[in-house]
Order: sequence, then C-alpha cells, then structure tokens
Amino acid sequence: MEEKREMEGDEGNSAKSQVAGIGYEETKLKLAPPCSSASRAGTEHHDRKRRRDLSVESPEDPQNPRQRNGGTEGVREIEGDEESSAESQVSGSGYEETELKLAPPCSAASRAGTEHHDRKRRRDLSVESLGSQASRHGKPPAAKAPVVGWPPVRSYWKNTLRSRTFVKVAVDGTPYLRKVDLETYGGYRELLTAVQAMFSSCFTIDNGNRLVDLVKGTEYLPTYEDKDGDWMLIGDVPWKMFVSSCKRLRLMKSSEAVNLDATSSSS
Amino acid sequence: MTYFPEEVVEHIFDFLSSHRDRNIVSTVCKAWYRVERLSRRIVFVGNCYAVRPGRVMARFPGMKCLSVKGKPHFADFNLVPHDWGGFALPWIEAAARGCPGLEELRLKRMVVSDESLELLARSFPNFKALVLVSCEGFTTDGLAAIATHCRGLRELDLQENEVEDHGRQWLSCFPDSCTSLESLNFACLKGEVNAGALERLVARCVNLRSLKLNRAISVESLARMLARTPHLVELGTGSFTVEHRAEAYQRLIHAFRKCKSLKSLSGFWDVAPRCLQSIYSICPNLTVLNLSYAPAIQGADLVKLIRHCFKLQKLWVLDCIRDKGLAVVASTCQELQELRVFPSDIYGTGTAAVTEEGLVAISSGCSKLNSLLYFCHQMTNAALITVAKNCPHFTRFRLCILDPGKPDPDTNQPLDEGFGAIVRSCKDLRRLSLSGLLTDKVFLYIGEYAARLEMLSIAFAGDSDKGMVYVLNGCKNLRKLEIRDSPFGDAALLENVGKYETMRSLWMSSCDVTLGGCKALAAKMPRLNVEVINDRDESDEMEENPSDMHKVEKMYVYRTLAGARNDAPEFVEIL
Repeated sequence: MEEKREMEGDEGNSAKSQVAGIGYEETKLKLAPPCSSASRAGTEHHDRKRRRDLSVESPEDPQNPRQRNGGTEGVREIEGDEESSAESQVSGSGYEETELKLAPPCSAASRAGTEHHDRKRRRDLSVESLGSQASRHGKPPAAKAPVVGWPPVRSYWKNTLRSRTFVKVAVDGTPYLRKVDLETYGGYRELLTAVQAMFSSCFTIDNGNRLVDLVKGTEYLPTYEDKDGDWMLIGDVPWKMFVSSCKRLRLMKSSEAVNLDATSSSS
Repeated sequence: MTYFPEEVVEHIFDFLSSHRDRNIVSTVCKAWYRVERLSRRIVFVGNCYAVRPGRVMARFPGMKCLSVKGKPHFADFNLVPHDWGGFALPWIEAAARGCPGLEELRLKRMVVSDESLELLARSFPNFKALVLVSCEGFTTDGLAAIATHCRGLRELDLQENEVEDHGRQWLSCFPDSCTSLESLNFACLKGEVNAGALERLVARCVNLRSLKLNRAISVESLARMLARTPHLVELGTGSFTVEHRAEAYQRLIHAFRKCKSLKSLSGFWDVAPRCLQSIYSICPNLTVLNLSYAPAIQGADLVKLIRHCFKLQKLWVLDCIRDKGLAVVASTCQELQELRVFPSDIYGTGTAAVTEEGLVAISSGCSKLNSLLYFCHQMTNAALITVAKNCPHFTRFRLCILDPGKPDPDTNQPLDEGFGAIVRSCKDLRRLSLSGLLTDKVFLYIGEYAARLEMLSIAFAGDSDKGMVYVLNGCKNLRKLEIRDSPFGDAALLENVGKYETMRSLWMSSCDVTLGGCKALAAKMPRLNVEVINDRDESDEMEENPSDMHKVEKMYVYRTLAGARNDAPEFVEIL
C-alpha cells in the first residue's frame, strides 16, 4: 500500500498523479505506521495542533500543476477522527494521524477510487509565519507559499496593494529622500517624469531626456543600485528587468558621476 | 385589521423598514399579502438563484429599488471558479419587462456584462442609482452607456469591481445637461479618465456629495475639483503623489480647508507621509477614514494623523499601524464603532505587525466598538476574554490569525475559550469569523450562546462532525454558514437537513463531505439546490461516474424556489 503510493508520487508525469502527487515526494521521509487507535489516543490534541504544521519543501514542486494554487507542496497532517461515529468512516473521512507528513490510508481498499482525489485535497499549508512549527527535518520551512484563498482578503485588494517595489530615490543636494513604487510606471520615461515631479524644485527633464537643473545648469545622471550592489546607469536594460533588479535610485550630479566612473572601473 | 381600508393598511406598512418585517406581514392573510406586495418599493434578493427574476417582478410591480447578490462570499477569496454564475442580465431583462419604473439597482458579486449595462441604460427612464460591488464582466464601454442614456442619474457607485479598461472616454459621455449627480465613485477603475471632462462634470453637479476618484487622477486635478465642491461629504482621493512644495499641494491644502462638510476620506494611494499634513484641518470632522490602500504610510505618520481624528467612527487601516498605533487610536477615538486592520504583508514573514495587544488596547478605549475585522499574527485566549468583557456590543466580529490553526502562543491551547467568551458576552452578535487552533468545543459554545448569529465563517477548525452539528442545532438565526478545510463530513451534513431551508446557504470546501452525502441531501430536500463544484482542471480527469465515496471539493447548498438553475457551467453539478 505504501509502496503503491510512493510510486504514484514519483510518477510526476502522469496528469493524475501530478494532481494527486501533492507532497508524496515526501517518501523521502520516514513513514509512520498507518492509523491505529492506540497511537492516536492521547496524542489527539497534539496532533490537531500539528495538523496545521508547515510541510516540507518538495523538490518536485515546480512541476506540479497545483503549484499555482498552493505553491510549495506538502501534506497537511490529518487528524484521525476516531471519536466520530462509524458513519463518518463510511463517508470516507477516515483520517489518519501520522508522526510525519505522510498520511497512508487506513484502508486502501475502500479508498481505491478516491485516493487520488483525497490526496489532491490535502491542504498544503505551507504558509510561512512566525511561531509556526518548523519542519522537523532541518530543511528550511516552505517559503512564502500561500494556501488558496488564505488569508481571506479580496484579490481585488491584494492586487491593488501588491506593490512591494518601493525604492528610495536620492537626489544629490537635496536634504531628504523619497520613495517610489517602480511597478506603477510603464517605463523609464514615466519614472523619470514622476521623479521630476517629486523633486520639481531641483530639476526638469530636457528634450534629450536628461535631467537638468535649469537654475544652476547642473545636469543629473539617473543611476541605480542593482541587486549586486553595483551602481548602473538607468536605461540600458529592458524596463521589467530593471524593475526586478533595482534596489535604489540616485540622481547624481554629472560631475560626480565622472569620478564614480573612474573609481568603479577599478573595483 | 382586515376591516381597515387598504390605504390605511398600506400606510401602516410604510413604517416597516426591514425586509424581514414586510415579508412576515405578507404571510398573515391574502389581503395583507396583496397590500404589501403592491406597496413594496424596496426588494432585496440575497441569492440570485433562490427565486426567478420574473417571479420577483410579477409579485412586486411597484418595485423601485432592487438589490441582488450573486456568488457566495468565499468567491472573494478565489474559492469559486470564475465562470460559476451569478449573471445580472436575466434580472435586468426581467426588470425591463416587469418593472420599468425601476430607479435603483444594487448588485453584489455578480457577473455584469456590457450588454446588461446597455440594456439597463435604455430600459428605465427614471433610473437614478447604480451600485456595483465586487462585480466583474464589464468594461468602460458599459459605463459609457450608463453615462449616455441615464438622464437624471444621481448615483454611480463602483466598489472594488474588476473593470476592463476600454478607454477614457466613458466619462465624457455624461451630457452637458447632466447636473444631477450626487455620488460618483470610480475608484476601482485602473485606467485614465478624461480629467477635463470630470472637472466640468463635477463643477456642474451642484448636489455632488460623494466623490471617489481613481488612482489616475492627479493632485492638481483634485485641487481644482475640490475648489468647486466645498459641500462634499465623502472624498476618495486619487493619486496623492505630489511634491509638498508644489503649488498644487498648496492649493490642495487651501481647498481642504474650505471643505467644512467633509466627513469621510479614502484613497491616498502613493501618498508621501509628509503630504498627510494637508488633511489635518479636516481630521477633527472625520467620521470615516480609510487608509487601507496606503502602504507607504508607516505607523508613526498614521499615529500623527489619527491624533487629530477624535470623532472617528469607522477606521480602516493597514497593520503597519502596529499595536502602539492602535493604542493611540484607543485613546483618541472614543466614538469608534468599526475597525478594520488589514495585513500589509500577506506572504512574507515580516515582523509581527499587530497582535493581541493592539486589540486589547482598542477594546479598553473604544467601548462603542461593534464591528471588527482584524488580521493579526497571533491571539490569546486571555486577550479575547478581556475584549469580550470590554466590548459587549459586537455585532460583527471577524478575527483572522494569519497562520491557520495557530494556538494561543502563551499557553499553546486552542482558542475555544476566547471565542467562547466573545459569544457569551456579545448577545447581539450577528456575524462571526473564526481562526486559529479550534476544537469542537468552540462550536459547542457557539451553538449554545450565539442566539442571534446569522453568519458564521469557519476555516481550518474543529475535530469532528460534532462541531458542525452543534452549530446547526444551536444557532436558530443562522442564515449563512461557510466552511473550508475542516473535518466535517456526511454525518454532520445530514444530521439536520431541515435546517438548510431556514438558511440562505451553506458552503463547504475541502471538508469531508462525499458525493454520496450530497446526493442524499439533495434527495431528501427537493427545495434545496445542492451544487457540487469541481475545479476546472480536474473535470477532465474526473471519471465518468465518480463513486459516492468520492469526496467533494466544493459544495454549495441553498434554498430555492426556482429549481435547478439552467446557466450552470459544466464543472458544476446540481444534484
């Protein structure tokens, strides 16, 4: 029975078991013996608590089509409901408790046709949060993989608030920095226009797309710090690539930029 | 009473403001039924599939205001597949045929096509108000039709809809002769709007009291509009990106100072903390403040703002306000009735933003609090017990601990006792959402004490069928029950089947209910629609005849007079 499940779990290719194979890659883990009332008694409460434990990161997740819903796959520990009536067993709700993150079926026969659907339904509570019980295996807990529809916030709101790409904008010679959300802009021109609006007292954009302080005549060069910590000139890479790699913006006075060039080329 | 002339009976019925009361009097006798139905002006349909549109129009020919709700609540969280249903068109068609005097239409969680909006625009000469909440399926072309044809439109209120942008011209479709607008809300539109046309529209609608702009409207434009609408009561700002030394900003401050009637503020996308100062002059008058779209404002700036808002009754805010900020709210906003704290960092671990401490602080300062939606990282029983004692007036209590099934961090116990205290203390509780680690015990408490409970939301809770049964047997006013990821199966489902006819609906997803159980329910209760909703990617893999033991992924049960609906997609099976 367990071997059968292992095999199905490994068949990451067939559609059925892909859907069904949620978390069954955890065959790498030790399996606890399947349900037995003795093992359940007295651990009921504890197991209920662990039911929501985080699950283990599965290396085959990226292939799993459920990824888009549940992110990293894992198996929710299911509480055995030995205290419920026989009817619930008949109804197929015979959950088993396991020590680890696998839930071998209690009676494979009755579940034959429903097995893969059940497995599909095991919730992947790979939600990362404070204080939650970490994986027992020394692996890092599943990272940032949301359960479908959890937390219960409207997707409309989530999308509106999604912007996490605030970066600081510094302009040489001004006393304070600002922050912009890169995702709200469609391209470089929009970004520079917005920055210009923020620091309108400092400079404006001339025809050549350069930032110029009309009063003093100093020219500003838009630069940004990328993920590697290097200072780059804005505009070389495609916009989306820029958005994903930009950590902060700095509008340097051209005169300083020349110096920077000289020093950075040596590092 | 039957000896009174009908006019007198009708006049008496005028004093009945609630739908429920009017529904009840209509069942007393035929005469009253007749008087009531002919005099009913406001009709509320809580589930669009509970009754056929034509029947509603036939019964209430004098209807002026119609409200209809479509998808189940969990559709908000992507738990209902996209094409499940909830179409507005049949309702608009039926109204066009049967109630051409319709003046107001309110739709929630429905699919509204441009075609339906066009039909709406042309069919009701007295049409005055359109309110769409959490709807989808239409574009700005549909809005153009409304703007063009609805003479005398007073209200166009679009709240959190998914609207496809087909260009900015729709707003220009309001004719120059349109001066009747009192409320305009297009905050949910993503695209640009013709700012000039908007400013002119706002200027000529002298009765405008509520204006909620979308993100595309600049501060300059806002300042100009505010200067023309000093009597505005509700304002949703557009984008608040402005350099604080800019002239536009100065004009804005000046305009705000003149708006002595402003009571409600929202919007504030992209606002720089410094620019919040512009509204300090209005804060002392504010009763409603919605900052839930402003992640850039951190706790300290929020607090500075809130210190000015001592008349606040409703506050929606992000959890970056932190516990300390909530303490300031507690000491400043003594009139607070509704608080919503939304999570700003949904997926990341982040730092704990608000905890039980913030809630306890609020409860000790804001004794009038009756409505709560609180997303937090942790909660304790002790805190909930304190909150229950401090605030016995809750009518809506929704707590969402972000980590599903998390116990009390101090004691490692489930939160049964905490929620138990809430339901025991808050005798008027009508709506409750649970979270955290919970056993069957919490449902025992709910069944026993939550006598007025109408809506209950359960997620990742309970141990056995007993939990659900406690609720079904206990809460006699229960109307909506929605459950996800909880171990309730057929035994619970079938324990009290008559109950479902007293309720609007039951939703169960990722529970232990099987196809056999659903079939049994459908067989026993012909006046319920039992819908089994399969995930679309699954339905190809579904066997031809799934066994009855097969567990059902999503089930939606509702009472209905209309029988099985004929617009269900193929992944929905109606038993």
